[in-house]
Amino acid sequence: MALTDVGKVCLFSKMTGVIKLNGKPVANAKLIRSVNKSGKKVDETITNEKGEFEFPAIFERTITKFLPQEFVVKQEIFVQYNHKEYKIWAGVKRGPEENTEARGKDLVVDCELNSEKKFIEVDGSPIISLCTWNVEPDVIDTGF
Amino acid sequence: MNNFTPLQAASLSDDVYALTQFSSIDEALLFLKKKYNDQFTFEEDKLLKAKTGGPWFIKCRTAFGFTLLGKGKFQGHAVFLFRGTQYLADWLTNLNVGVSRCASSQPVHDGFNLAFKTMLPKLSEFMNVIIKNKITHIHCVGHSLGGALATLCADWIKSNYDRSTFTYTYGSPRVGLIGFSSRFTSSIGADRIFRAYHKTDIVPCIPIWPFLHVPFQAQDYYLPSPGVIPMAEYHSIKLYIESVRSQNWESLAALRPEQKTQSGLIQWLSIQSPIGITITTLEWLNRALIYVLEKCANGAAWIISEGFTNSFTLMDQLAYILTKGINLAENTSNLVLQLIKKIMTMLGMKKVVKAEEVTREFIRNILLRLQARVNEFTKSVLNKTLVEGRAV
Repeated sequence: MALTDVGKVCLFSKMTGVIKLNGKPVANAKLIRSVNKSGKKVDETITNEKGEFEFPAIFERTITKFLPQEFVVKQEIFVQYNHKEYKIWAGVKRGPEENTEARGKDLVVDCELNSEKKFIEVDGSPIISLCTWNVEPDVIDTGF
Repeated sequence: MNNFTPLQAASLSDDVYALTQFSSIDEALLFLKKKYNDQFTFEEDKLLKAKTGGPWFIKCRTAFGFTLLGKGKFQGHAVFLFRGTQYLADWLTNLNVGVSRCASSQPVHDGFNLAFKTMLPKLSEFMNVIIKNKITHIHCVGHSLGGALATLCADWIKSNYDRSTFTYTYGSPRVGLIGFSSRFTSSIGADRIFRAYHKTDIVPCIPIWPFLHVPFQAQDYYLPSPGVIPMAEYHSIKLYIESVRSQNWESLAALRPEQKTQSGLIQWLSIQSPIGITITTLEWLNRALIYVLEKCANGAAWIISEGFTNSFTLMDQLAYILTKGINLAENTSNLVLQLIKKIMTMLGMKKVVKAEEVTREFIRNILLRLQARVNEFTKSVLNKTLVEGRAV
């Protein structure tokens, strides 16, 4: 690992995907993404005519000469379309590596705005989302 | 006994980190339902659920965690859940630690106590919910600083309310002085205190003496982890979960190495060969110091005076007790001298000391130097973590 990578952590992995409403791709929908580790960062994008979008990965450098901290990042994505707002992603990233959301693979999502929120946990990180992606969820065992 | 299993308590200690990040009650409830088999809820969730967009979790969210009510099999149970924060680091690496009084009037770490006190209005309010819902069992749970807060919370509950109170901590720092440790152990009950720690987790090693862990002279849950040098890695709650998964408290108890006996301590003190600061020597030193202090104060309630506003006054108080010990019977006097020599050896000091040279100022100076050295050691462990590229 290069010296410049010391303390480099991934807050949200690169995400590509498609936004659909009742099965049809949605063009020109606005996506607002936010991450919060020790301060909120927001970015936006717009879907193309095929309903596709892309968000780059978000990194942060943490040079904290302190005690070990649990890695905890709040992740949210909202979609604004046709005067309505949908929360398509509410996650808590618990690992600093890239692509923890898809267990090491690229994060490619398929999001149906008219669907039920689903809970999934991947690599110890819980995500409540309207999207689906190709990943094997954790087996949940809290002892209860 | 109705206590949680090691995995149950560790999972809660882990999930409080995620739980505090959800911004709607629907998300938090879905999370609880899926992960906890629908066994817990927030207070009056139906009422809160109706108020979308408004301030949520008004009564059940604190600055450092959540309060939960049990359902189904856990009807009659409540959980006070705390998480760790960066705030902990500021206090643990602060040389100038003072003590203040907790709910049961015992001396505890001032930084942890201040953090806990900020939550008191919220927690007091939640106690009304506890009473209204006829809660009989309260579980205080936390990792890291959250463990310290859970311990202070259990002390507060036990001092003010008559409920069966359990404490579960993972990688908790030391919370209070001997008075707190022994009083807490007897009021909560040693069999209701579950303190688990990895051998090489740095956080349970601090703050150094005269802070002591709970329970006092009773079962704690030692979890073997690789190596002999304390590291930051084994502080991670995810690693704690892995260490306790598929274990029960009895099987964890069996992992504890043999306790240091009184004769073992006396022998350790008498050996004057060079020793460095390691996790093992620190544990020996901690126990030896408590042992010698007890001898000096003759079992009386030592170190309970007011006004330890900083480490200077705290170390001065310890020096005072040790100096008194020097003037006591010869065997106590010898113990104090051996302890001082041991500390000097650890500090790499070669000077030969005689009893008459060991004044209160001398002892205080040695203790402050030791404290500084241990803090340096702690910080170097943490810096090493950074050098290795691990995100902290």
